[in-house]
Amino acid sequence: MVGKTDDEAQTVRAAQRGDVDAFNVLVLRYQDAAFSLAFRLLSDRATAADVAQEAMIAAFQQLRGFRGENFRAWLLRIVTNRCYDELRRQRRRPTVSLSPDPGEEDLPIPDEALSPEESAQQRELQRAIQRCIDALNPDQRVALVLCDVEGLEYHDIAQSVGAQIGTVKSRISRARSSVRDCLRKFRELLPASYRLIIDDEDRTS
Amino acid sequence: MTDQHDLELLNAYIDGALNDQERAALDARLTSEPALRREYESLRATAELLGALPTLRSPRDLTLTRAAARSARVYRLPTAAISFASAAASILLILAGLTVMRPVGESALRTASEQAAASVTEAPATETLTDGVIIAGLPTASPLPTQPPAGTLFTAEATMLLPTASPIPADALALAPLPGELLQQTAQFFAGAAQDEIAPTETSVASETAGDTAAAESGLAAVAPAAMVESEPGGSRATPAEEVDGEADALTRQPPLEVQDSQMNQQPTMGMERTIPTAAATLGAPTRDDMPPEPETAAQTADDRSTLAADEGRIEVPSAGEAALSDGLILIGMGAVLGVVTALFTLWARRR
Repeated sequence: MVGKTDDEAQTVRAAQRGDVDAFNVLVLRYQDAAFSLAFRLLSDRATAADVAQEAMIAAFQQLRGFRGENFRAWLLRIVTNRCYDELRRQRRRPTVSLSPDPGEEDLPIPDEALSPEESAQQRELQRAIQRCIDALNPDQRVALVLCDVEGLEYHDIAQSVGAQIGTVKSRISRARSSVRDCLRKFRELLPASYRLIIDDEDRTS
Repeated sequence: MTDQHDLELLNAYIDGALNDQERAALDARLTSEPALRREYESLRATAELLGALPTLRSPRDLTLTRAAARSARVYRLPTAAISFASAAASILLILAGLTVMRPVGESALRTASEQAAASVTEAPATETLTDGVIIAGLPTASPLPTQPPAGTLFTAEATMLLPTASPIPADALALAPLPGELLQQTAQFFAGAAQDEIAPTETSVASETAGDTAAAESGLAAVAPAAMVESEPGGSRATPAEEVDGEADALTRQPPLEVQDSQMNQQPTMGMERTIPTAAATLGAPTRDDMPPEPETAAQTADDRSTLAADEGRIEVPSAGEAALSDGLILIGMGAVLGVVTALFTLWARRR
């Protein structure tokens, strides 16, 4: 782990000196993370790839300003900001989606190959979760994805989105409650353990 | 039903964002309140479900080609440089405009007070006051020695910057003429004008005061160009100074009329061609509506001026002030427009 960090620090320094090959080593290491985050926030494969690409270019431009923190977190912050820009742009100029329900071709392929049946179930569930994420407003969506999907701390999320920690806390709370309520509509897709919990909650409330 | 505060507590608990005390308090409640416990379980399961979402594979490599990397580096520099140079040019233009206008405003006040002291009955003095910056009277010649060098300095700097940064034509900035030429033109004009105003000083009380002022001005005219020459750097210094002093002295005593006429014929033409805000340039071009129409020739101008000087006091040099004023306003306007364009460009470049 220490070895990897040292190696990464060296690569980053080389990239900071303008070494494109060194920068591309970092790109290859984190491009899936960047694309995943963009897709979770934007819910469109092509747009997510474009935004992730723009973020890489922006990262190369801003690399001199990078001061030895966590490169992945720094890169994901740039991706987040780009996604925010894109969400704002979409809000200003809303486009009518031709397929509001994401079609098969829009669904990203998971990294790990499962059995065909499991794979199909997984994809259905992921699609359901993504639809529930899409239903959130942009602020809540960004906060929840950074927290639950990317595993960032409140403090880092607040820094990423330029908000107070209290605001982030509130957004995550509302967003997670909303997603939970949304997922009830996809009961048959949910894992058995999850179904038991919400059934139990439904019975008693 | 759990309220928002409890929901936030539960979610912060799930994310490990509570301090020891808060966590202990919530632990106690979770054991004693089954509804809160169920709420907590469902939220935690939701967080886990989201956390189990796989990392997706990027549909294409996002690596940068060398060309993309080069253009990425190149893109930022000119944007910043253009913004900076353009903003600097805008500020210089506004400063140049203010420099051109400032002496005019000062002398307007001075002129007005001088005239008020000399003669209360003189109409143009009041007119000047109400107009504020519009200048009447020959003493306005006094700003000229200080004005052109300052204007020249700023214009030169602005012109150096502008070819790279702004589309403003260079000739629009040709505010001040070459110092040597300007000196000669101004000195000759002052001498001639002073002589003109001495002529009609016999008849009325009003014209008598006008004559007094004119006599005082002839002294000014003789001194001012010399002072201007002193302030001018460079080799053109000695000759114009001698010329000016010689001419001015001669004219103050009793200059021959032919010399005046030839000077008057010569100077306005040069001035008109160059459209420069010197006294000579604006001699025959009064711009205000209440002024007499523009004379056809310089000789006419001299005649008109003699008459008008007797009737109304002083008329022609106001245009010098107006020209300086309008030039100043033009420069400030250009500076403001350039500033707005710069701001828009910078915003646009940042958004991209």
